[in-house]
Amino acid sequence: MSPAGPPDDALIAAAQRGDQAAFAEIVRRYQRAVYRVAYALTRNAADADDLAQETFVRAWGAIGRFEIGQPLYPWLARIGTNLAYSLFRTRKRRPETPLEPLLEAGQQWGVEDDPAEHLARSERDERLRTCFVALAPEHQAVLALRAIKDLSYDEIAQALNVPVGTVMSRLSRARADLRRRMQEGSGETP
Amino acid sequence: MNHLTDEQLAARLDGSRSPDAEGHLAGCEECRARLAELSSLDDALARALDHDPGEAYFASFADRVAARIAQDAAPAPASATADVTRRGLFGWWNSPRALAWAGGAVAVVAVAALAVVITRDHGVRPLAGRTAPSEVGSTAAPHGANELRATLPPERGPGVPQRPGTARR
Repeated sequence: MSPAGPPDDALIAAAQRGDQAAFAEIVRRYQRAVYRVAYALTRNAADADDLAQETFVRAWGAIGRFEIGQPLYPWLARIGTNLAYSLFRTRKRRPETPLEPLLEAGQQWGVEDDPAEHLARSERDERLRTCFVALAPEHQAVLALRAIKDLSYDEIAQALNVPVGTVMSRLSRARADLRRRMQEGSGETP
Repeated sequence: MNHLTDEQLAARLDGSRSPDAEGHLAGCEECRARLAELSSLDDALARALDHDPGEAYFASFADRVAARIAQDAAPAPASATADVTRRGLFGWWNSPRALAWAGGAVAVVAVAALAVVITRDHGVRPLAGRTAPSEVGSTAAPHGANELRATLPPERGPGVPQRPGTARR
């Protein structure tokens, strides 16, 4: 991330001294990225909002322990991911799969031109979400962080607190599992 | 022919390039098709997991976070007295836990009062010789019998049956 204004390290150092304005600038700088992680993990706007806010609240509480010089986004993603795991455990269920992305699909994805294509794509995406929700939580997390496309392997590894090799093997297994479930759901032979 | 593994295809999808894999892909339509399928799945997943709440949402986001931090930092009430003051004298009426405690206390007081009344009634009659011990025993519950026994003077103890309805003289 290459924002205008003071570098991240300067803002972090100021925040570590209790400068709330500096932390607010950090929030503004990373709010979209953190929300994207939160939404990918929860797939629910209300949960994503709560998770994204709580991520920054926890970050403020722990900013004193952050090592200046390290990238901030993976650290924030890690807080968000841990909170999401905690949320899943509390609810004893997997994240919700609301209809809102489906309803917004026409505008957001620009596929309203061809109704047949729109329908086929919507059905496929709905099946995709259903299959995704059925994956193991660690597979969901690694696929979600990868799907965002903001994070490198190294950064995903930092966010999940696992070695890079584990990220790659998890990604591979997660994709294979997702592909298998999609094929089973559509009646195809894997 | 040994096809590429899922892991090799995933690595290729994530930008890794190895001469062996590239050579195999160039000559294997099946692996190219699998790679295309995985790529399509990734794109669909990226769409499905993305959501833009709009500029208005983010315009006030930092303020909401700041308010939440301030709320978390607000000091808790210093004492129970402060809590009562904050909630008002009858604030407990809206608290299920406080109501349960109050109900429990009322029940204990009611049982104690009933026990005193029963003890007084049954304690007078035998002393006046108007009621046979067996009659007391036949109507009193086991716990009631123990309570009665405790209230009688020691010399009257044998007059109270050990178990209801068992003592006959």
